Amino acid sequence: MPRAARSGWLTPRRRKAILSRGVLYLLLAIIALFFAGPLYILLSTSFKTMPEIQSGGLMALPHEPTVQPWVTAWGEACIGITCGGLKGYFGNSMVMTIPAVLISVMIGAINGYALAKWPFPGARFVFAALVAGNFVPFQVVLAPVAVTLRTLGLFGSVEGLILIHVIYGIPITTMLFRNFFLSVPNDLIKAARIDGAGFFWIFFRIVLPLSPSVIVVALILQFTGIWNDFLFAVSFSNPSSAPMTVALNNLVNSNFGVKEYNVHMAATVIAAAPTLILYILLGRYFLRGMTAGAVKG
Amino acid sequence: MFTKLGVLGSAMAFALTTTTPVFAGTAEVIHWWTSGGEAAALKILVEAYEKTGNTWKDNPVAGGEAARMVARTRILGGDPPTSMQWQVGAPLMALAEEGQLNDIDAVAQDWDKLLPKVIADNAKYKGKYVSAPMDIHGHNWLWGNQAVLDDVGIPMPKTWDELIASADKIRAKGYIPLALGGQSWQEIFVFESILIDVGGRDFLTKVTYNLDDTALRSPEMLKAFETFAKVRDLVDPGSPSRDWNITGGLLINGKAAYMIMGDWLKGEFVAANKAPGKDIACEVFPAGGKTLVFGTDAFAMTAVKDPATREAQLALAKTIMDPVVQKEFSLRKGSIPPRLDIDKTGFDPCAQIAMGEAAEGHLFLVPDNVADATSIGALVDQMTTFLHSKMTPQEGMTAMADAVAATR
Amino acid sequence: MRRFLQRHVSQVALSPSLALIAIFLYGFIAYTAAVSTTNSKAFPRFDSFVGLEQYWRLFHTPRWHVAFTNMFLFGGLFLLVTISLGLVIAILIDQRIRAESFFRSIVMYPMAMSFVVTGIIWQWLLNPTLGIEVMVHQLGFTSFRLDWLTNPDTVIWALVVAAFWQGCGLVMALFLAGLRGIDEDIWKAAAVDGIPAWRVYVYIVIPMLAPVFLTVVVLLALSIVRSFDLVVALTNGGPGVSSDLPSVFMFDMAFRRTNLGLSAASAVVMLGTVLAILIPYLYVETRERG
Repeated sequence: MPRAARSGWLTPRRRKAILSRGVLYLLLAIIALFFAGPLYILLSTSFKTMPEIQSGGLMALPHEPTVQPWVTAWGEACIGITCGGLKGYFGNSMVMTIPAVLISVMIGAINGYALAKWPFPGARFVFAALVAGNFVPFQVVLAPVAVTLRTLGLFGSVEGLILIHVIYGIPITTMLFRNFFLSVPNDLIKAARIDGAGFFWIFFRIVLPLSPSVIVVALILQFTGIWNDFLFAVSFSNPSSAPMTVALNNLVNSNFGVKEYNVHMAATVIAAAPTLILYILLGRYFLRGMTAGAVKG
Repeated sequence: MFTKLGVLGSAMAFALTTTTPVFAGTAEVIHWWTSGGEAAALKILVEAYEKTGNTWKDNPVAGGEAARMVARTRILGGDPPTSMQWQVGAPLMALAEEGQLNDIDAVAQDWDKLLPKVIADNAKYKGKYVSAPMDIHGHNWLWGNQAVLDDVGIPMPKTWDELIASADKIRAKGYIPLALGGQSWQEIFVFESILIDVGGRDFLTKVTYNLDDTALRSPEMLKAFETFAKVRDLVDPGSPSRDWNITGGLLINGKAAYMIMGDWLKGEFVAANKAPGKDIACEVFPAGGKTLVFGTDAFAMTAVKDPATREAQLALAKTIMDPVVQKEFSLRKGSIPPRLDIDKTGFDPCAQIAMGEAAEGHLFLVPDNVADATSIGALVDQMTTFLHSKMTPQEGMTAMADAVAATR
Repeated sequence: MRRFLQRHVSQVALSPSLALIAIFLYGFIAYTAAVSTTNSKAFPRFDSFVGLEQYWRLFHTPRWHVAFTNMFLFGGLFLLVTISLGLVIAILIDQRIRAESFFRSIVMYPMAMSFVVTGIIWQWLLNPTLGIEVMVHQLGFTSFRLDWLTNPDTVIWALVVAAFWQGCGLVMALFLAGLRGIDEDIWKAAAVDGIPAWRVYVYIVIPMLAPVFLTVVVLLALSIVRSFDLVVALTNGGPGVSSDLPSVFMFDMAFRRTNLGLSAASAVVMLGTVLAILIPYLYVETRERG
């Protein structure tokens, strides 16, 4: 819904009614400062030389800014004996993340729709079981997952990793879509069913077109989760298919080695870049999506 | 410190090209050497290994726990790596008992003569080698910033009493007496050195290996806790939760006089252009304790069947124990070679001290690799809880003994 | 057959997912419960049945009590702080401000960052000899103290602040979206009746966000249970073991102390506790809406 159409509730009177503009912006500035503070340290450290970092003054701006840490993190840093930085791992991450995100979002959409709009006796129980079971700590399921993947012949393959991400993504995507679809008016669906429309026809022709927004929300959530996953990635990938998080961890997380904080900071931003870009590109839809979700029902 | 590369490099090439492999295989190796200095050392091993005609497939996983988690998951998934970095002693035996390891006796005939007994014993299962040791890292090192010590006008202390006695002078000059990072694995080095100080090697054995209830409640133990309680006053308020690297910076930059840390700290000295043994004094602490607590990085050989991979495994074991590889590796890693027949030339003064300790049989394998992991873990938890609490030594000792007893 | 499919189409559509969930969640929970009754060390072995011994051991481990208590302390504070401030920030951003997308992005970006490194930054910021305390001292306020990270009694707040920093973006976005979806007529009606805005929020708008609260609570609860990087990077459980959480305890027991049996027992206790709290909540929440 375009914002202009909603200007009714954004009258100056209402705006004034909550807080004066001055106080509002002051509060927002404090909030922004809190959230941006670590970003400042991250970026300023990433442009410092190691001697400058070692000499203390972690909060200060760099004296002699250098881009070398970024160059190193991107293309030169040694991850084990291969000194090619992070750049070689983007592809692996994409190959794993994109299918896993798309499939888990699609399954979540169908599940959420089934639970919210075609309820059956026990649907509530099914939903509760789906959400509750998700609280199992992943560290303890590594062993049975490994054995299961081995049985399926998928251990160490990208397909296996995608399968695991899809399965453990089902509860969250289902929950998102279910809670969203609850607010889609039932009348629309009833009318279509009386006309003889089936489950999937209504899903694709009526429900999905109403919900590009929640799809984007689910995409963003799943992309962030799967792109940043380390536990499954490190356990079920092999050296040639290792995604970005494994490389990032290898770069920054050495126990006893000398820590090159400047390179670590640069690498963190580089590894997060695709997710950040996704937020910026989809940010508008993200919000508009949820908006459409809660329309009067 | 790393100068004679060219000469040694060619010597190494010669040493290794004389062995012609029967099969050429690929060794996929899981390890946790991911930082710059560690990778530089690892390259020595890899290059030497590839000269044997085999291929090294690198699988780095930063962090020892994460690497071991991956290795275990791989074994359960039916796809074990050819070899993996794995601690010797109890952790290695746990794998061997499951039938997950191959022996490498075919290339280890003379290892008993070459290795310190403690390493040889702990790298074997039922009398056969299942693991090849690459290096030795000492833990109970006391490092002192020489400029700070000179400024205060004190020598390196020999005992804990001397160290604590010097603290006031150090503080009077505005320095922090002891740089300590606040994580239990850092603090246990301090505690272990105190245990040696109060009761010698025997007492350390009783407490950390045997987790002996009588020792855990003995007068010596109380004395250890009394000394340990004083450590609370030796450190600065930023100590808890601080990374060891940042903590090392306090020592290197002359803000703190002492630090107790494993010899990998030398990597930070080199990065800051400080010479170990000169700018930063070193001492196995307490001096004269005849005990160098150490860990060894070793490679366990998994139970692979394929003949080519098996051959790759044996070639790897052989390369790891090659004298030139052992020396060149440790020069870059800051460690010392497990082989006792390596000459000391080229090593820094601190490494030379460590090599002397090893030769005299003063090595003491880190308790994590010997004692029951849950029990020693409970000890470590109580040690760190005590340090960051206001518990009296008596209370701390009882709490530790009780927690250890509950794990049996 | 066709008729059956038509009548039960939603169950049919759900069944593949449910089968997978039955195996990969509930099957593996049962597996974990089985491991917790054994003396498994490095690998799961079912020939070493020890009954409930691991549970006895668990309840006699002082560190577990700290971790378990912390789950409630940290979890409760984190939920409270993140939900309330997330909602407030969403309401502030919803005031048709300038540069909205800037403020939105600055609150959301931490979600995308690996905590392995950003945890180190928080460690620096909260360290009394390196970070904020030093900065404030340099400004002249030398009596200022910020020792959350180094004081065992307050370290939980350090975790809460860092977790809030990372988790607030998602909560804010969900609430903001919910707010935007609310019927404009409500505001018009309220304006006509002269009801103050804060009352409209408290009595009308916030209750209408109930489904968003459900989503938010579940997502935050998940991140509490799984917050592993946070603790490892920020405090490593310290000072002492004062900031330990069940997820860290579990990992330590399984992979550092090679005691899979004890690790599984702690997982079962944690899961049981979380479900005991969550299932009544889910029951109530879904009934209202279902």
